[in-house]
Amino acid sequence: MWRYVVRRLILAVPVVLLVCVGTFLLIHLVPGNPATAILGEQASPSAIAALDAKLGLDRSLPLQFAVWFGGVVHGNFGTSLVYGSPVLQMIWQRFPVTLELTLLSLVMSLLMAVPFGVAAGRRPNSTADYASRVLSLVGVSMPIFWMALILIYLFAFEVRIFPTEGFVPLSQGLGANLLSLFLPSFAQALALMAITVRLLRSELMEALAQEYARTARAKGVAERTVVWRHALRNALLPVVTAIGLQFGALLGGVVITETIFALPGMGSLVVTAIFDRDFPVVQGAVLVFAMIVVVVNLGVDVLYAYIDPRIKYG
Amino acid sequence: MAVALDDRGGTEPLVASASRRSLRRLVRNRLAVVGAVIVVGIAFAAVAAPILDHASPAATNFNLALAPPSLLHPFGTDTLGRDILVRVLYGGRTSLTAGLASVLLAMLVGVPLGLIAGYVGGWVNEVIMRVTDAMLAFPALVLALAIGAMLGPGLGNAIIAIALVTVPAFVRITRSRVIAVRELDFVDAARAAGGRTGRVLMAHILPNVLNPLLVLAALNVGFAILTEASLSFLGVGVQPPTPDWGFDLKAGSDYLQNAPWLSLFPGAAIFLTVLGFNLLGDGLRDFLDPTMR
Repeated sequence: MWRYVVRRLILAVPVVLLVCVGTFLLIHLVPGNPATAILGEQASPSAIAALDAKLGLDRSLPLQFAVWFGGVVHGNFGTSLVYGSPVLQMIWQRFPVTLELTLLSLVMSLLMAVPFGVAAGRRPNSTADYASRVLSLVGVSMPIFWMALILIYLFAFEVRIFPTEGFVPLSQGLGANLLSLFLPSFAQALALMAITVRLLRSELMEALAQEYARTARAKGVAERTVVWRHALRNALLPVVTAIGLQFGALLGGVVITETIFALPGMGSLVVTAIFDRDFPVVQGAVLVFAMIVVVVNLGVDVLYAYIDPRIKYG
Repeated sequence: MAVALDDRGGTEPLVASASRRSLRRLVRNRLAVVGAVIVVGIAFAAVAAPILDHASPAATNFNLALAPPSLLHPFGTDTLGRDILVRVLYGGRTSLTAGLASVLLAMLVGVPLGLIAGYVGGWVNEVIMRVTDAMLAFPALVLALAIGAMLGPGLGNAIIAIALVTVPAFVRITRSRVIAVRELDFVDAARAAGGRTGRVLMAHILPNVLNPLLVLAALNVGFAILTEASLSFLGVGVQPPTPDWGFDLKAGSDYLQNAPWLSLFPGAAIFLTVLGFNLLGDGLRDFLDPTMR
């Protein structure tokens, strides 16, 4: 088990390094001089030179990377050009909102996906199966921002149940906190469940055709128990892996939902930083987003090995 | 699987009858037909926009600002009194251009890289695949947003950004298919006959990886259109006065309570188009490549 974990960790090292290189290179995609792009064409040459020095752009590219990477390793992501505060601190302050939104979306998507996936997997080609196929197609095709606006219109303007925007921290009560995150999580969950439903359907169909399911039936176990106790357990395993793969899409959705619902998370931080041309903040947030994906996938792989004894830890 | 492809590609008449059989299967797949009809319909509407409606997408009429849907303006008008139906028709041009161009660009970069990684192997494969893994670690929308923001506004830059985040998918699928066919007899035969690497790749391996690529392309056009709309919704990418679904939807969201049609119709257009490409991609997969899931 530990050998497997260590091997998996070693495999992640080049990916993490390359993610850092990619994030570092982002600022060099700016046509011309980034300092000019930040300060505007009318900026004085001395101001541009000063910002160049501050961003380290006056050095050679490898040296720039070495300095930047050295900082990142020590938890120094640079300082915001707009607020002057450390980038990592700004990200850290907004991290809990994004985390809660992400986890709520995941839970909600599973709560919706499991019943639909089970209904479809139990009776392929039935009405339930067809409905789940349509639902998942709608889910993957629906722009998340359109869904969010429709939800706001329905549940915040027409039936006033949920707040249209803003975030209530957990310290001000769980109920108000969940209420403020309900609509954005729901919008994300709809997109997320689409893939889970299809996967769960095919996995459950396969599990129900296995010999252990037949044995259980032959023993006289009720079909309900065969489905929910025996087959679903095995069908859920690949779903765990898929959640790791979908995590990137989920974090991408966060950028949109946080912007629409005015939630002070990492997603809205990126968008604001882009419009402020606050490049160190953009770089820092993009790097943290990618690291979350790497860590989640690492965690999923380890968890998978842990819950599925058939996997060899070689 | 690979053997089946090999058999099918064996002789000319076989290919013809196989493709006719496939076509029949595609038509029987009703959802795929629905997808094709949607895609063709949207493409026609976008191309024929000036014929379908003589109004210009930029024509303003302040007396008619925020008019609800009516016979004259079926989708209503926006804050400047511009006809939303006309804007949606013209917006299709932006979306389809972005979707098709970015996928084409991603294929032009990703497919050769996948061919090389799969065929050459060794450290070349390691380098290409690790870079691909690293790119996949970035949430696609976040990366596209950051690249688009750095490159600056404009449809061209948005297309480059979307293409870049789509490349890894094409590298991966191409590589895995190349590995599946590269040890087969017909490839060995081509090599033994003195075929140079480039020729073996283009004439013998590429045709055998085309099917999954086609499926991936159709599905990714949907993804690209969704991403382009997301970028313009967030304010990166296409800038006014170019009609764009994502941008118009965002502009309309300020009037959501009193004039929901401003956002409703551009959003419906995005949804319908992406749905069309997804249905088409699913259908293509069912008959071109049943093993791919």
